[in-house]
Amino acid sequence: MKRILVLACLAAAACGERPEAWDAPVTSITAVGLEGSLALVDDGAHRVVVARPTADLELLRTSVTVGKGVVNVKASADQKRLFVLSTGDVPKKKQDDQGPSLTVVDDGGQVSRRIELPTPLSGLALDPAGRWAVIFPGGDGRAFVENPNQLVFVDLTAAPEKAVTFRTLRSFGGRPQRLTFTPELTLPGGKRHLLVVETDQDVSILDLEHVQDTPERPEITVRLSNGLSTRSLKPAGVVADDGEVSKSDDARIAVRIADDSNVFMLTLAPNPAGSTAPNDFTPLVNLADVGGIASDITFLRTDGGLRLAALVPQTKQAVLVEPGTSVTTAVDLPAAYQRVSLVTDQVAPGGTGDVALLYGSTTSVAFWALGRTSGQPYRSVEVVNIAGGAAQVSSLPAPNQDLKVLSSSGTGFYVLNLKSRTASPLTTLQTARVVPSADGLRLWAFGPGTTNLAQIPVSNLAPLPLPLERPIRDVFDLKRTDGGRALLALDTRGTTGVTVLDAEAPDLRTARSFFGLLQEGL
Amino acid sequence: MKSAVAIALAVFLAAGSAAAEEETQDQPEAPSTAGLGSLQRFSQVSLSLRSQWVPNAGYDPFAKTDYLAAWSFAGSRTFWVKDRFSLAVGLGIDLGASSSEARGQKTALGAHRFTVPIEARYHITPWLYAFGKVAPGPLFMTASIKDGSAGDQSLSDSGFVFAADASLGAAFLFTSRSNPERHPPRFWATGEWGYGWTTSRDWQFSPSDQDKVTGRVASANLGEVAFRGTFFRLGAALSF
Repeated sequence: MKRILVLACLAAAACGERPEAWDAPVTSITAVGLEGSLALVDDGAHRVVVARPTADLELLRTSVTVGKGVVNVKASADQKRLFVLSTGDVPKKKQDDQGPSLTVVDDGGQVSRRIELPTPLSGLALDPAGRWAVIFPGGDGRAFVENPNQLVFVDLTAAPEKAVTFRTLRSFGGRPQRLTFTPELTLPGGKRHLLVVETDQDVSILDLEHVQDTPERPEITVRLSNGLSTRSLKPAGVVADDGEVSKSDDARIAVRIADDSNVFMLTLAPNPAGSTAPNDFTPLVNLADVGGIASDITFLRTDGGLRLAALVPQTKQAVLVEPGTSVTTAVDLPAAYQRVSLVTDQVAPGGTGDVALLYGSTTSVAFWALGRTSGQPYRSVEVVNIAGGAAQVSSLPAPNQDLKVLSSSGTGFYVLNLKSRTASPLTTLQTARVVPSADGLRLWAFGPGTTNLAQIPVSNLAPLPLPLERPIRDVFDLKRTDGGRALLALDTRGTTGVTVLDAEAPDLRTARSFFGLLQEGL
Repeated sequence: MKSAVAIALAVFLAAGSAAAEEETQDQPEAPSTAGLGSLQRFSQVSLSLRSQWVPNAGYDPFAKTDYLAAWSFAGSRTFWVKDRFSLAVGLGIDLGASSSEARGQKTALGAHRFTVPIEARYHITPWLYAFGKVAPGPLFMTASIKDGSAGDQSLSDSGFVFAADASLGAAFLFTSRSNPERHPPRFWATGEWGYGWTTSRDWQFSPSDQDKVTGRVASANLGEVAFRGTFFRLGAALSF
C-alpha cells in the first residue's frame, strides 16, 4: 500500500500545474464604471473583466489582459475608455519578464491600445480633451532611486512608436504634487492646451502643442514667494481662464497657496520684443493678499469684468481680485464657506454677472450673484439652510442640470434646486452615498457595506427602497446594450458578485444576481 | 448511491457465481490448457487506486496539478473461456475526489464513474494473465466553491456525462496456485494503464439555496470540463 501511495504521490508531482492566476487570491478590487460597462481590475490575474448589461439584465463578460502590477486605473472624462497603468515585473530578471505599460481598454471590453513604457511610474493624469496621458512618479516608494521630476507624455492619437515622450522638469528642489490640464487658451502663439504642474514650491507650465518638439521646448517655472521672506510657498490648486475670446494676451492662471494669504495671478502675455525665449508666451506674475488662506478659487464674471474669487473661511469672506491691478474687494459672507462652484448656466444664463454656489461644512449653502444689487456690488448672497453641511456636491446632467446633490458624512442629504433655490432633505438611517445617474433622471442611495439601496426619481423625489441580500460596496448606473439603463450593485466579497436591476423600472423580482465573477474566464 | 451500487455488484456476482456453479455441475469441466485447469473461470472483486491526469482547464479550480485520484471498486465474472482466452464482465465504481483553493476560495470536487467493464484476458501462466478492458458508463460530477460572493452559501454544480475507459494491464497471482480445477479464494496484484474519456459539460455554479437570492440567479460559468486523460490503476483483487 505504501508503494501505491508513493507512486500516487510521484504521479501527482509529475503532473502539470494550473495557471498561476488560480493561486492568486482576490484581495482588492478596483471597480470603474464606464458609459456602458463595469470594469473590474483583477490584478492577481493580470486582467480586466468588463461586464456589459443587456436588456434582459444579463452581463456580457469579457476579459482582457493587462500588464502585471497595476498601480493606477482611471477612466477617461467621457467614460468611454479605461486606462490601466502597470509596472510589469520589477525588477526585470529574465528575458521574458514584462516591462511597464499603459493599457487602454474601451467600453466594449477590447484593448484599444497598449503602450510599452520605458520606466515604471505610478502617477497618472489624463487630459480631459482625450489626447494626452501623463505618467509621473507617484511617490509610493517603489523604486530605489526615482527622479520625481520625470514625466512621461503619451500621445493617445499618435502611432505607438511615436506616442511616448520623456520630459524632466528643471527642478529648484520641488517635487510634482498635482497635474492640471487647462482648457483651450488663446495665447499669443495661437490656441493651446497647457499642463500646469504644481510642485511643493513652484508651478511649471508646459505647452502641450510643443511637448514633443526637438530641440526640447523647456517648461516655464514660476517660483512662488511672497517677497517678504525666503520661504517657499506650496501651491494648493490652480484655475485657468481664457479671458476675452478676441484677445490673445489675457489668458490667466491663478494659484492659491496652502499656507499663505496670497494668491498668484499669472497673465500669459506675449514675449517682449526681441526676446529669444523658446516659448511664445511669458507669464506676468501678480500677487494679491486676500487676508487669509484661500480654501478655493475660481474665475468669474461680474458686471465690472473678470475677477478671481477667493473664499477665505477664516474671515468668512469672499475676496474678489481684479486681475489686471490685483485690487481686492472683500465681500462678507454669512458663513465660512469653503468651496465655490459656478452655477450661472443653470440659474441665470445670459445675465450680466455669474452666480456662484458657496458650500462647505456649514449649515447652509449660498447663492452669490456677482451683478450689482441695489447699488451694492456683489453683495447679493441668498442663503439656503441645510443641516449637516455639504461636504460634497454632485451635479446632475441634463435634463436635470439645475439640480445638485449636497451630501455630508451625516445621515441624509439634500437635493438642491438651483432655479427655485430650495433644498429638499432626504434622511437616511445611516451614512449613505448618493450616486446620480448619467441620464440625470434618478439618484441612487446606498449604505456602503450594508444591504440598503434605494432609487430616488428626481421627478418626485419619492424613494423606492430596494433592499438586497448582499452588502453593497458601490453602485453603477450604466447604459445597457439595448440603450436602456441598468443598475449594478457591486459586492466585493469573495471573488465579486453583482446584482443587476432595471434602473428605469427597478423590481427585485426581475433582478439578476451574479456570483464569483472573477472565477470566470481564467 | 454507493450502497445501491454495492448491492447491485453483490447481486451480480452472486448470480454469476451461482450460474458458474450450475455450469460446473451440469457440464464436464473443459479440458485443461497448459495446466490452467479452470483457473480462467472465476468471479473477482478488486480494490485499486486510480491515478488520472486531467489536463483540462475546467479541472484547474479544484486541484493545483492535473492529478485526480480515485478509489476503484470492481466486481467481475468470467462468462466465456477458450483455451488461454477468457472474457469477463462486471461493474466498476471509481470514486474520485479533489479539493483545493481557487482565487483564495475553498473548492471541492467529486468525479465518480459507474462503469460496466468488459475485460478480455489472456492467461500466460496459471499465475499471470494480461488483459485489455473497455469500461463505458456514466460519470457523475459534483463540485462546490465556498465563495464569499455567495455569503454563507456555497456555489455548487453537479451533473452526469458519458464516460469510457480503455486500458491494458496484467494480474499476478501471489497466493496458492494449487488445485487449478477448484476455486478457493485467491489474491491477485493488478496493474493497468489506459485512457479515460468523458464527454464535456459546462460548469455552471450557483448558490445552493436560491431562495435566499434576490431575483433570478445567474450562474458563474467556469468553462467546459471533461475528465479525459491517461490513467493507471494499481490494486489488489480477490478471485473465487
